[in-house]
Amino acid sequence: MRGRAIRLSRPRRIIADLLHFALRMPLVPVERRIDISRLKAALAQSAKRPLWSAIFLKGFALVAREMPELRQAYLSLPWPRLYEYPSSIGIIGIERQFEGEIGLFPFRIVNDPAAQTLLEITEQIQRAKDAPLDEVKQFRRMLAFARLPRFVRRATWLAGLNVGRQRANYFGTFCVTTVGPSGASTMHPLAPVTATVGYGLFLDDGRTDVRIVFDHRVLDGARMARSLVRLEEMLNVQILDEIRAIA
Amino acid sequence: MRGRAVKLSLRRRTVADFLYFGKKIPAVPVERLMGISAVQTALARCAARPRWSAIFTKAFALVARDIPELRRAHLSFPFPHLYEYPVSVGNLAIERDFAGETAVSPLLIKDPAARSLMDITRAIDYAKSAPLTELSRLRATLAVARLPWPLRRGIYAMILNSGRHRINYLGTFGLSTFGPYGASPMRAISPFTSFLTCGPFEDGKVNLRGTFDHRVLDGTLMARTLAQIEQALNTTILDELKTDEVPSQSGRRAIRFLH
Repeated sequence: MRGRAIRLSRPRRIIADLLHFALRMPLVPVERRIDISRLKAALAQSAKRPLWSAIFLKGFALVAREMPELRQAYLSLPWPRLYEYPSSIGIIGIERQFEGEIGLFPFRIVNDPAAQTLLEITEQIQRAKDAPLDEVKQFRRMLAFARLPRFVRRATWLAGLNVGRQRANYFGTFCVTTVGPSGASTMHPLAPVTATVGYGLFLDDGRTDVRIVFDHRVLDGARMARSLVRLEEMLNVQILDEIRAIA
Repeated sequence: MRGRAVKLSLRRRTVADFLYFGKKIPAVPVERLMGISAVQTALARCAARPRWSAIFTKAFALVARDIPELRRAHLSFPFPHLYEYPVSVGNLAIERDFAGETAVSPLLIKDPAARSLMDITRAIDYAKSAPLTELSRLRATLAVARLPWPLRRGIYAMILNSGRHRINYLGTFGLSTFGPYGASPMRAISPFTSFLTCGPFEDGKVNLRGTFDHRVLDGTLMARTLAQIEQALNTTILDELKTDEVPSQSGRRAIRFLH
């Protein structure tokens, strides 16, 4: 059957590059059903409502404060080693309309989410969602970078992934993703970071399945399972108190 | 301890080749719990009962009519680009016994959205019961499996990267139902742009899982697709089930036509 060839759009090129490197990582998923009923109730009463992605970004960053493995990255060149960051940098995927199609733009939250309020993180995400594309510096740079030929892009990514000081600036230390608002959930999100946190649909009993896909070279499944337990505690204590304080 | 070497059977060779190319794809699974009790009730009342795989194949194709990304494939050679087909072609894995083990025969269904559920069902029934010599896709798959591996991999690489030919062997989406066995894979490894699997049916609900090539589309789009499949099941498909349709053609004719 004859069809038509379509050139890869610039956002698709970036996603393809990131997936190219993610595919080379031994990523393993762990999941836990987390109780968020009290958070939901507190959010419903809060005047200014922080986004759920901001809640998970801050929650995981707080856990990473206690667990240095979650702030480590595996660098393979020139020799295999781990690199540890003093604080977390969170990445989130933002969907934006670009040249007639919806593109997925990775957005790095500026500064450690654990050191910011939920509303500050929400404000950053909201701006990335609403501001014109060329007014968001990260998106402007990304679209310019996507114009480069593939081998130049891939070489730059490879260098970025293997230079400890630079890696977190471009890839972050963890990533938060969800397809929950569309009524579905993903079991195995892919991103070239040590941990990708995905949350699914909010169930009727006030719980949700949180899945973390992690780089097994950096840490083990049992440790990651413990981080999920700690994440539930963080959400239901520290984050809950902050939301109640907003109200 | 001394064991024994076992030669790879033709079936295992084909699966190994399939997985070799499937592993190169950044596949991400998305799932949705769907309410299908109305469809189940309508099915129970049907005189001629369509298969669930026919129902899901048609529902996906109906949704793909309006979402061109679901009819696209990512081709890597000579340079990375996408290729878009005007209609969907479903690829159903049909299990057949061959030389003492289970072989999987691909059944390609062109434009399932334009066909009746019973036409698709008859094609599946025919592929399940016809003599093996009549199933051209299975014959071709087994013929390739007999070749040495560099040649096999070369042939598959050529097919996967030729926009015009890829669809004739692979289709635009794959479908496999594990529901009857009460299980479903967490993450399918396959070279398809979209691969649907459904879990067991419980309390009028089914978990439909779409594993997609993330280079071609994004998770939110697949999530929206699953929501629209649920809508199509409970509207267009349900209406079709309620109108008792008269068989139009035999399975043999159907399969020839569909190929």
